[in-house]
Amino acid sequence: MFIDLLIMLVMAYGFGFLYYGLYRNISARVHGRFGPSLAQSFYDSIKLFTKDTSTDFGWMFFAGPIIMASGAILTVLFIPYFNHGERLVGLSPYGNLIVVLYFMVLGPLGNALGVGSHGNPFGAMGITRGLTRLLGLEMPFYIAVVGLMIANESADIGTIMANQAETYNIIAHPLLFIAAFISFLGFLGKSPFDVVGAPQEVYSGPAVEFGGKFLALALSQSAIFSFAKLLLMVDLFLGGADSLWDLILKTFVLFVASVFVGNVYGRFTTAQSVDFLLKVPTVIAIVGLLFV
Amino acid sequence: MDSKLIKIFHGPQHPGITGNMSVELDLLGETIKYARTHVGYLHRGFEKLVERRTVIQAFTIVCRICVPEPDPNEENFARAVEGLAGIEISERAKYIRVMVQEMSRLAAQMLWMGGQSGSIGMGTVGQWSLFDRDLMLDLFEELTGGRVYHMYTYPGGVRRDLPEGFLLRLSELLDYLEKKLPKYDSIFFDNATFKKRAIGTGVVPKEEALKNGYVGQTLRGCGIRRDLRKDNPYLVYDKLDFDIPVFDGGDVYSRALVRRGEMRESIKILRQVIAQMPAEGAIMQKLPKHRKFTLPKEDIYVATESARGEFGYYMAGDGTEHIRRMQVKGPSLIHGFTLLEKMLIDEELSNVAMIMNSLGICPPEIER
Amino acid sequence: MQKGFVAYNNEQKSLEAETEGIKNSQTLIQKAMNWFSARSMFVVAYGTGCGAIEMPPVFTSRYDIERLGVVGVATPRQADIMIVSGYCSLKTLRRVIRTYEQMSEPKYVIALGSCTINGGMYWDSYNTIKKLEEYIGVDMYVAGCMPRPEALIEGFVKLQESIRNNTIQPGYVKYREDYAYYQANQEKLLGKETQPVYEEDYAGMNLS
Repeated sequence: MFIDLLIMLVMAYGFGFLYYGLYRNISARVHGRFGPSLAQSFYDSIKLFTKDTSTDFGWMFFAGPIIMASGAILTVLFIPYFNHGERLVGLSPYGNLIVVLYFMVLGPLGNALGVGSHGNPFGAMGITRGLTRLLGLEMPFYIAVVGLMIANESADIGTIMANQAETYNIIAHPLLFIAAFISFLGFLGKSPFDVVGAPQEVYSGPAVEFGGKFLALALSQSAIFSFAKLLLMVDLFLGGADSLWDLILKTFVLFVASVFVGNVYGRFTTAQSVDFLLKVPTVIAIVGLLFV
Repeated sequence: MDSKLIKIFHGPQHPGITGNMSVELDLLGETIKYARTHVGYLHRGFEKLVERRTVIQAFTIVCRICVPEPDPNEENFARAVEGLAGIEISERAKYIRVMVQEMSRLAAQMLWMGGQSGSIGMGTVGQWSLFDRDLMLDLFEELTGGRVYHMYTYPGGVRRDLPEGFLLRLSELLDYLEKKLPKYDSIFFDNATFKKRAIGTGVVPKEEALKNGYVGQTLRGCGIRRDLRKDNPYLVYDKLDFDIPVFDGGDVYSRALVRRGEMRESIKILRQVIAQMPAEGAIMQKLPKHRKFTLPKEDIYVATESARGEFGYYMAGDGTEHIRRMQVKGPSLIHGFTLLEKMLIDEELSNVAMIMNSLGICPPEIER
Repeated sequence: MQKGFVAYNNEQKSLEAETEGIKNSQTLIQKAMNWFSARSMFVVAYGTGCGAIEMPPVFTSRYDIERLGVVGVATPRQADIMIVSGYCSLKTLRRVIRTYEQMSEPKYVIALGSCTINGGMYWDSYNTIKKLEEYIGVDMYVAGCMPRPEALIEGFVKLQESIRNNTIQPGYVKYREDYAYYQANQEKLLGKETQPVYEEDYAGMNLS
């Protein structure tokens, strides 16, 4: 059990950084250039861990990134990696989908606590943007997830995966998938919903005072968290994974789709993105809910 | 001061600012209630430096006044000196100068496209357009020896003749750009997110534009057809056939469309220049010796249409080999101070970078 | 002439021997740390002067410096490298010093253009500084007006080599050890107000 948890964490960390490296490489190819090496994100994070810390804004500033990281770690531990339920199921027997959704909000809240303790207005503005965007993101995502719960008459991720043995939910409930995918793009923080850390607007937002080890922790957190979200989408809509190759294939396809959307579109303003999220995907999700 | 407002400094060390300047903003939530520009980070005292140098020495530093497009400066300086000293340049030199102007305009619009798309997070467009700008810079390097600063348009003509086969390579590049421009349309100008952000943002009313002396795309973007190349033709622009794109909206999107049209017009002009350029002719008039090059006791105002609007030089000589006074008026002077301060009020913080890029604000030329 | 050449050769050899010595005296962890900090460099985006115009080509698809692990970041807190791209007027120098002091160590400075070395084009201007190294620690100069993108890339590669092999004393160490010298220079030019003065004790924290 304990070894399983450790393997899950290491896998999430590794795959998260690998996918981040892939993201940079694929974007570079779209831009028409060679791009960094695949392991560049590893190098970045290790270098950041060796850097000095020159900032001190009280203990809450230190606690913020740790709460963020623990939110990401808990999320990934409650999501099963495979659909046969033998290995790498983590803590998922002890919690269900609702717990996972709760832990997914923990990260932004921890971020808010840490960022609030330094007086930088850009950080506060980034956090306000993040929480406002969360308002728009959660609505369609929760409706889609509730639709799945009703259809399967269960809130257990394992049961939902097991019920997809014949048809995947992406085919059975396509509208729910579209709604969840749009808000998933927002959860990943890719454009057009990348208002939180927009360097041209709020000066990299919540991370504005994070340097060195804090930034390294924030990077690791976002890598783990991105992989957790990919896993959740695969589990809910693509029937989970049979084997390691299946897992890599399914998460990779989802990931590449999100990269291409992010490379083509520009950035909405906060008001526009919340407006869009509350209109288009929410309506799609509600229509999808009627079909369930 | 209202305690509900947050004061932030947008710049000078900030990715969302077009160069080394700063905008002090008072925000209520994310809405700007009060804006004030701070400049002076780039002041080098050009007008004083020019007074200390002889005419030909001063020629080497004027191109550094505006970094993204140095050629209108050289053109202005050369034309002012020629006007004062009474030098008439050859037809071939005029055509070469028009070619340099239009190449520089095209390169500057490519750079603008990168900035404008980067300001709303569309990195891909910037990467492509900066690559295409670099191809233009390669041609500049072949022609003049420098990528950014050319020091090519010399009083009395141009500094050296075209390399062999240069016009052929230029027309090949134009073919490539003509093929590439529709791609920019589909990824940038017709992009849903750009339209949603840009339409109705940063509006300049038409009557204010004329009254306050705005220039360039800001003027043409609110429906006023004004371009120095047509209204007051210099060099050989009166022998060339081209249009001036005008749009009515007065917002960021209209200004973008004006620039899109101008890129196509520049290509058209360059094609005509390639076809009409005389093969023979002196590229350089005979000038007096460097130390004996004196300017008469007169003054002159010359203006060039740069990629962002009217670029004017006032020059006065006093009978010696030094320039008595040189005053520079760039297009960013009005846009960067009064217009920006006025326009930012009641805008969102997210739009600051987009509006600044759209006005084409270039701090080095505000401060000189 | 022959004599001078021999002397130069000897000096070169002794320098090389010295750097070999430094290289061998490092522990494995130090070597690894140097390797990683050479392999990944975050550059703070501050276009101080004309040189800023050659930065977009370096960072975009034509020259693509991300191959070497160099990326741009927005804030000095996250950055390892500051590129001072050209002349600094007095008003800019104040901001450059503040930006430099906000970066966390190890930090490096690349000075771009002739005007940071000796004033360059603006040698007789009344508003620009002439030598950047009098005010902050500089690790690498790239000469030229304007330096080509290839020159900047070469500057990065040389800096990476020297970090990896630990062959130079980094500018930030000099800045820390000789702080009195730098501070005197700064105060001579800018007055006493170069350092931040916090009047209020905001957010209930004790800043003393």
